[in-house]
Amino acid sequence: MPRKKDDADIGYEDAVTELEEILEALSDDDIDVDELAERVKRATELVKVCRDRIAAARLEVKEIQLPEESR
Amino acid sequence: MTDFDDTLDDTFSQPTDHVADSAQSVSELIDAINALLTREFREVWVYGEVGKVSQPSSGHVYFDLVEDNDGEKHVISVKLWRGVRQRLLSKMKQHDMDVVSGIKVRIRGTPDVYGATGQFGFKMSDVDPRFTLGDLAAQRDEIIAKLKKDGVYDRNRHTTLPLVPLSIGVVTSKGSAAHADFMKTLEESGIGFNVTLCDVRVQGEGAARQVAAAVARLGDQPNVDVVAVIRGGGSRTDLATFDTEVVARAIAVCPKPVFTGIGHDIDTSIADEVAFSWNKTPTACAVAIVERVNGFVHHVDSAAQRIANVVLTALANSERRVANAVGRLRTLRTTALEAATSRIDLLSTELAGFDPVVLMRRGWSITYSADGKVLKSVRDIDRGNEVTTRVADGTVVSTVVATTSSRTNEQKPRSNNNNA
Repeated sequence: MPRKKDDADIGYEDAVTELEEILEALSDDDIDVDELAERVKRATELVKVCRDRIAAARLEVKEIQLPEESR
Repeated sequence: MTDFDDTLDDTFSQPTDHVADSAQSVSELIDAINALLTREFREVWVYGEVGKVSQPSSGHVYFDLVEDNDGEKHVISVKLWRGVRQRLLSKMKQHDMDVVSGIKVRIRGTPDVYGATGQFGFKMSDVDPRFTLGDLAAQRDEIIAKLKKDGVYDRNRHTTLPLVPLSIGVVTSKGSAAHADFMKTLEESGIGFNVTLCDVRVQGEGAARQVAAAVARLGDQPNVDVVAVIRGGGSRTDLATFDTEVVARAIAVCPKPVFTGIGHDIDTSIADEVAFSWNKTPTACAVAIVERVNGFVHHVDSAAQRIANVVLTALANSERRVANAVGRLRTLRTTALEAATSRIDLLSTELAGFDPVVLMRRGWSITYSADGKVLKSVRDIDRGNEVTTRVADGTVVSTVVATTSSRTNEQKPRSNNNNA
């Protein structure tokens, strides 16, 4: 079964690895219909998490100062 | 008044004539010195490092030419008049150099004393760009050799670039064109980048120290994924900051991957050489980071697409399998029905052959003894017994006259008709 992680914290690397795993499992011709549905649901969630996190936030800018001795 | 005052008064009121005769005015003296300097040092070559540079709106350039012997400094103030500068510009441009702090130069000119300030200086009339460039190359080789010896030369190139570098530490001069170009590219990408800016001088005195400190500072921020060092285009000597050891070293040892976007027309700087990724312009630098993120997005989209394809194929396969099964079931049912029907027909035909009525029509009959049993053997009947024979359309009652066994020819009283 797919590894369940808290999606808010899941790293991009982990998300992609999990997607690849799902894809591999789905390529198995003998996959059960219920499992297929379950895996596709999980894959959809992962794709959404990744896309939302990258696209949703607006560009943010902050400034930090040089250390005193370098100014 | 005292005696002393009188004496003092006397001294000033009685000028000594022989001194007055040989005295020169300030301007005369300065002119004389300048004439001497011109005679003795006309158009001499001198080399040193460019120190502080100032370029007022007049178009003249003033800079210090410095010789530093282990801390013991010797300085000449150089004046590069606007006209001379105009004349030398094409020559310097051709060799991609400019007079900027920190570079070594060999210049020609004549020393002089400037009347208005009394300052001793040097009027520059020519420059030898090859000296500067040769020195830059030698200096560069020396720095690279040093970084290699210290084992840090390719350290930054071996850092790991996150799959999705959304947090960017930016080292640049705030408000510069380079800064604007970089931010514009990030904004247009539509990606939610998180930028931490550290404003620095990118040329002139103190620039190298500031850039190095900013790289180190941003590299230490836990939430920074990559550090971008950007600066607009300029001559090779303009970009001297990025050829300094302090900057190269800061980039090399930075724990985060460093992306450079230092506008170069011709060459790469040492900063570029040791950076994780070097890009020709600030825009190209931003594009490289955007592409990394987009690469991930495409990867995810492609996985989603492949999953969708797998699901569609699986559904299509299932539908086909169901359709096939239904088809086979239909064929099977028809065939079975036909087979069963013909078997029944056959059986009916066969059964019909055994129907006694049919047989009797052909001439067969059944004979019953007086007790109603079917007569099957001559041994079951005697002469004089009455028998009843059933034929197709009725019954015949007879009396047995004799019987004969077909096996032994034994004479027995026979009935008057054939038995089945």
